Amino acid sequence: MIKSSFTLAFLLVASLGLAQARAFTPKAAVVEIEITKKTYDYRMPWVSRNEQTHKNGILIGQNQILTTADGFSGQYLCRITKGGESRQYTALIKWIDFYANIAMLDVSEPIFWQDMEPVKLAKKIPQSGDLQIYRWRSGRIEERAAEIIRLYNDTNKMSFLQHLKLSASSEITGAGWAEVVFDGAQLVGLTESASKDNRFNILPAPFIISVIEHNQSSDNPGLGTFDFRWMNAKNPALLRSKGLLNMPDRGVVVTEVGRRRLAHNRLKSGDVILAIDGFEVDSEGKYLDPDYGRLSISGLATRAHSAKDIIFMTIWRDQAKHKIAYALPRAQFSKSLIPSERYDASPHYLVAGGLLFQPLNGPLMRALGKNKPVLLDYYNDRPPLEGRDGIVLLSKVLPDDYNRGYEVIHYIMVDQINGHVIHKLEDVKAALAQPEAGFHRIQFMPDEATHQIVLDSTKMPKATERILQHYRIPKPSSL
Amino acid sequence: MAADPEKSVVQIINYAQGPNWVEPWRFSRVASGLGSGFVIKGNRIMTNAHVVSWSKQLIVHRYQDPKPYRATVEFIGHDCDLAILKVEDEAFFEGIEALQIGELPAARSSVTTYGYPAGGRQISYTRGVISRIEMQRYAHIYNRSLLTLQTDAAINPGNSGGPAIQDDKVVGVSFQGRPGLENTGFIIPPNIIKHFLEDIEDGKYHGFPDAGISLIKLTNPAFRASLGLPNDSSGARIDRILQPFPKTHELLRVNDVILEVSKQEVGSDGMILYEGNRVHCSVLFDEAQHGEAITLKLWRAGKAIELELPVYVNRADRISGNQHKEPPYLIVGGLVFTELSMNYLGSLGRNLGESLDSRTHYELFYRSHQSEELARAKPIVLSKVLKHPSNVDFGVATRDVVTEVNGHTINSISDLKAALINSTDDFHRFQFLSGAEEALNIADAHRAEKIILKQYNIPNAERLEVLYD
Repeated sequence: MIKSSFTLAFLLVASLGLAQARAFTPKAAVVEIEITKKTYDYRMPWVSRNEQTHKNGILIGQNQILTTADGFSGQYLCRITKGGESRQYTALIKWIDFYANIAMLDVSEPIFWQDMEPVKLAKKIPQSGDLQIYRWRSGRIEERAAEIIRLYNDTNKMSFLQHLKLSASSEITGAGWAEVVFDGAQLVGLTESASKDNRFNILPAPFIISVIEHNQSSDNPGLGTFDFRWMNAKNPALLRSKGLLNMPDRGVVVTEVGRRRLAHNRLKSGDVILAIDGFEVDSEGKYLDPDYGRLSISGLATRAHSAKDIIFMTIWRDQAKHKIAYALPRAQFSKSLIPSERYDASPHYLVAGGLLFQPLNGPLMRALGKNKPVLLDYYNDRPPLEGRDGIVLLSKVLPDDYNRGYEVIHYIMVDQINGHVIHKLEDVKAALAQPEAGFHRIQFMPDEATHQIVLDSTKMPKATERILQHYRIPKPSSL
Repeated sequence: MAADPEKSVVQIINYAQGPNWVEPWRFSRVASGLGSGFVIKGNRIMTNAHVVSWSKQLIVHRYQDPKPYRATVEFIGHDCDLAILKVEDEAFFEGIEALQIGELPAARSSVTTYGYPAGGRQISYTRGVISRIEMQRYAHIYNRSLLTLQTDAAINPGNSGGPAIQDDKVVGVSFQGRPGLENTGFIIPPNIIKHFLEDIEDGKYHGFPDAGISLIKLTNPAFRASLGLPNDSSGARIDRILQPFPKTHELLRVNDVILEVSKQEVGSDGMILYEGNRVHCSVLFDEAQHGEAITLKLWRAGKAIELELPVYVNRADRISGNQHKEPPYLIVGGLVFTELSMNYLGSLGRNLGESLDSRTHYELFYRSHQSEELARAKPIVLSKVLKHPSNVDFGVATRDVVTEVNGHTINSISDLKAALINSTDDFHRFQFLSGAEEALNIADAHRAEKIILKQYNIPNAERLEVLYD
């Protein structure tokens, strides 16, 4: 009898523990998302095709379905299934933050919300131990174990924002599409990307909470970013050469300011940053986070701040300590000379006389693949050109009698047309409206292999019409 | 006239030792390379420059003679990939008839190549036709294109330097193949050989001059009309004047149209009819010797003019200028600085694009074309950090170009040397192209230097010789 009672008591304790762990019911919170979208070939920017992406989401409140923004660019239809059922519900996009890689969806049909149980996002996440991953597969919930590798600050998959991330390992395959990650009953985050060696990155809940708060506020300032680069100052001689005699292992040296052209701020190359936002900076660019220990200072822009906030920094410059107010700029792709990303937009182009002009940006550079001239990388890597808002590429010449002799020209950066400096595609259009004595004179960047070409301005409109027809291009421009 | 040309063809064994471009005080292990050559008048052997480059010991074998003879390089022309060897033992030339250099063979005519391919001790003959005559990049120096004969005769490693014979005369020197092309070999034509031989007559090799222009085709009717030219097939346009060519800058202008070179009509594609072949008109520039003038007929501002353009060897060739001499270097506190060169890049691996930052790439291949103000004479790169407690925390990645030291702009290894002498306090301060900066404590660096040199077995902390002829 004694033995039986003991067994019963053990079973009771075990089942209570299970009930606590099962406070989260995956079937009632995890959903499957199907996105139908347009994608583009930047080498033929007038061509689009349809694609579908399948990913995961999770209910975090009434009319709030959380997922990552990855895969939503160009979407025009989003449908959700729940509970492993075949019925699809059309979803509305409440907001998408491509910079943070977070999207919030809703389903307007009340029946969708029946029997569903939203979950809570964890305010603090573990730094070690085991996690659980959930997703729908063939109408059944798949649950996988994962092990935390480390917590760190790193760059977002969709932008240059730097923030907290969690990396973990698991046997799960094909992850990285917003699979939901739990620590018991707490939502720890969404998977962002996965590598072949069973590692994947997780957008952690505290970062997601901050993104949601930003996007739900009426005056969303957006997330900020540090628009400067720095290097470790581990070499004592470097610090001493700057007069920093008694601060070993402190500070990082600013190597470049304003590459993304987001802010005019008070930092200069050569400054030694000793503290940011009240946190001491060590010589490896780390600070001691009160919640998560040593982390890279790159995440301090998003840890507790929004764009436009003032972050105070202690720097060493000209043999003296200074306190400066760093106005945290909002992350914006469009401010860069060569924007690294473009989301939810068809590629811009202009065809004139068979010459295909395109604004130079990250998607176009990636589309060029191995054919990309090294000069484009150089313009992307070099300090921004003063007085130039953007770069237009003559990416191709569609052969025709009109442009005879220029057929081999491709991927070449335009400097001026008819004496007008070309910053963007609209400038090309405007400059072509002002020919010089019956000719269009197109000049390329001084370091390009070809410097200039000339075309007959009077014959260009007819040639353009003929070429568009011949090459089956639906319209001459997308501006 | 040699009745049996094979008797004049020799096998060359080169025991070579090239430098290590990343650790420039070091040399590679001694490797033996095989090539061919042939005897020309004056008891000389002609071969390819690449066959005898970095030679420590050269051995030549006569046709079917087991005796090895020691040879030395008398002249070497890296730009045209030709070299002249001499053999001290006059017995070597006994019974050997010098081969004569013939004329440019016609396309479709047959040639026989002679040489010792694949290491065999028996001479090999292959017969083929001249399938094309055009300008080709000479792989040995990388950045120079000269007239080349293409043949379907097999040219394999070991054939290099051997003669292509037609009617018992040398009509070319086998020198390169091209991966991916089958039954295709390339031969240096008689024009280039004769230019080389004429050049060395004064006892010194100068090289092939360069006009310093970028000439592009002028086939678009609108561009022609804008320059006042009829819509015909004459004249190619100067798109850019390169650096450094002061005389060209003085005499030529962008958008000048070259109508004739040396009285020969230039087509709108930049080609001329050259001994029955359409080849780029630069072939005529290559006929001039260093300092000689070429007659040009130009179309400028609506009228034709004639002028004499002197052409010079580009001694400041920043890409390949030092690639056949031991690279200069300077070690300070364990930091190894050397010149950024094509050979340095080549030593980093096959895929330069992936291994090199685009800004460093730009330094070598683009900056010098812009203007003399922008150009660096020779960019200096941090090639290695020889670890020592005094520099263990040096935080700049290797392959970065140093732009400033102690406040002085660095355009050459001499600038670096001078800047290091001119420090004003206890530190050497370095600025790099990436934006990174670093410093060394001079006293610590000085103390470390002897230890580092000993530890890493480095004979000297610097090699700063003037490298240009």
